[in-house]
Amino acid sequence: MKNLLEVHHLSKDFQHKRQPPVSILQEIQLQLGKGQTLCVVGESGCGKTTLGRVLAGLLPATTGTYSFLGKDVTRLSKKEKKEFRRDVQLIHQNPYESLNPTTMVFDILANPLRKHKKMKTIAELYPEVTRLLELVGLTPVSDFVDKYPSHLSGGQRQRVSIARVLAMDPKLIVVDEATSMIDTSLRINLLKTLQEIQERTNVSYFFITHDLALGRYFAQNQQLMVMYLGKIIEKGQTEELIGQPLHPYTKAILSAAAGNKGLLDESSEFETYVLGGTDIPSFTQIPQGCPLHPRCPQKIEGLCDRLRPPEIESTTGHYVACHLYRKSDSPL
Amino acid sequence: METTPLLEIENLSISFKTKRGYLKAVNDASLVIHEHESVALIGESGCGKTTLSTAIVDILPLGARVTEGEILYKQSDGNTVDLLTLKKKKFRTLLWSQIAMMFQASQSSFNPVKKVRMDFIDAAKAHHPRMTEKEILKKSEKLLTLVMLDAERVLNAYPHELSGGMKQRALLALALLLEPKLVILDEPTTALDLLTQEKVVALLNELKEEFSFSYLFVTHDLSIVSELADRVVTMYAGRIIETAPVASFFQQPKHPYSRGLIDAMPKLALEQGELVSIPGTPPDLIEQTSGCPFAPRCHRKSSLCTEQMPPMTTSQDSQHEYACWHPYLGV
Repeated sequence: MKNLLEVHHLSKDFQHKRQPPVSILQEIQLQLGKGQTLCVVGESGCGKTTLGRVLAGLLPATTGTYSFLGKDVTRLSKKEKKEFRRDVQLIHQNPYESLNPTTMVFDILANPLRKHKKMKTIAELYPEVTRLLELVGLTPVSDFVDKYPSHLSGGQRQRVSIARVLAMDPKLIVVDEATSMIDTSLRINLLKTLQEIQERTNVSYFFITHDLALGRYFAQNQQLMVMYLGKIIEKGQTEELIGQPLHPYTKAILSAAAGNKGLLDESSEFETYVLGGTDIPSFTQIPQGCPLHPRCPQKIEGLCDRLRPPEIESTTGHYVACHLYRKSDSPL
Repeated sequence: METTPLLEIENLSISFKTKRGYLKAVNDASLVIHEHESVALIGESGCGKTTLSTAIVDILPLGARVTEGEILYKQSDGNTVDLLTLKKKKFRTLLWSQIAMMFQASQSSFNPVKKVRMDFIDAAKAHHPRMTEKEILKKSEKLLTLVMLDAERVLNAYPHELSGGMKQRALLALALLLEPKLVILDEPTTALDLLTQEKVVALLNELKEEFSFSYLFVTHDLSIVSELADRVVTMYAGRIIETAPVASFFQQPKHPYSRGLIDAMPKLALEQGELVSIPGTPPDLIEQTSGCPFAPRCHRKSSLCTEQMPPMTTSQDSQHEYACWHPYLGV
């Protein structure tokens, strides 16, 4: 099957005045098929939002290739670019800031339709807006079309922004922490809506979150990847990655996210795994070799602090970037 | 653990004046915090949990007013005072020296144009004018080392030079500077990433053992609750609907809403049941109804629920208290 998007050796630097550029993404490799979900987990400041923005076409990559539907995104003609803009959509983190407060829900959804689908009359627009609002569960529709964002709750607003994104029939939706501002009791509902939409429209999701449990829930039987300091350090099928984490960093965040084991997950078997140090190093001083080595309890002296670990396929489809899993016969 | 109550909130109601009428953000809430106890106040956004906690330190936002109730605080000299009627001047001597609060936006709690040391010196001088700077800094250094920070560096840094996690921990040290009896933490870990979060939680637990004070922390993250709390208080639509010891809160929640919250939480364990979210949306707090506020979203409701607010009931083992006509009782 041809992949929807393919990213090879992608990196992203940010320029500073009179300072060397800061490299936020390094050597990103990923593929995503149609109708699939890829969930990326990482701490704040690990570059996951930047990656989402690059994939959404909001930021150009510095080096590497990013092809969407087999075409290099940097070399699109004007017409193709317009299509790309329609096909890739982004759901923002904060529904309180991503909707225009002076625009009614109807127009929030109708404006992109007017612009991209050339629907002009109310007779054309109204059924389409109704369909979109029903798709995201904002019913009865007549209650919502004439509301302003300030009349809606956070969960409802986020549903409006999902509906706005769906208006373009996208092929890829970058979901950037879309549920972190939503209450626990409504969050699952929203994720279920997203999953139902995927079943119906075969859209792909690039789901960005810092909450491992949420990522595990959303990317069931799909792919999960973990980022640290701008690099993908582990990638694999969700259940396998959570069940048998390989990278020390993945083990540490799993152990941290498990909560109080006695109370929450009695069946859980996560080993307690603690990293040294407390803070992520700054991007301006990324350690040589493996970025985790100053904090890693299992580091190999003379190797981890010198050489960047390659991506190793430990079992089929489960990649890890760590020297611990180096096959003995592979060259350094 | 039976100890004396440190803070007792009785029948507290707080209203906001809005264009559409009065909004009862906190409705008839009663809450007890014992000495050396850590109490978690949980609930969805807009349920009044932050309003309730800010009322204790008298920093209610403009337009909010306490309409009834009292907040009784047992001072370190053994006298009990009502914080709501206490004279301003007296009240201010209590703040920070006995009751300290750490805000949600702790990232911006430090003065951005002064070095961090000035915040420590100012806080101490306000309560102990005769303390010398040297003494204060010595104590600050000790506390900062305790929260695993490089004391020398942090004290001489400006807030923007510290990372979010460092600021949070520095603020914790500042809160402990005058050895308070009660520390109120509003969403103590939301701005932190996962590993820092775990460190802060572990630290809060250790500090509680060492200094023996009480926590009241406001959060919506149940995994933090499971690691930090002794007792859990659930709020919904301005009312306290359940209080329970942490273990039985997670194992046998009595109120359908508490149960809904636990069921909606994604878990990391491998065999994962279907997650269920609570249908509907939180109620409008201006249009007060007579019945249980949760009734429209509850699947156990009866006609009684929409007519009458259930009273606070104590369970048979006297551990749970809940306000529900149809609680989950059996196992």
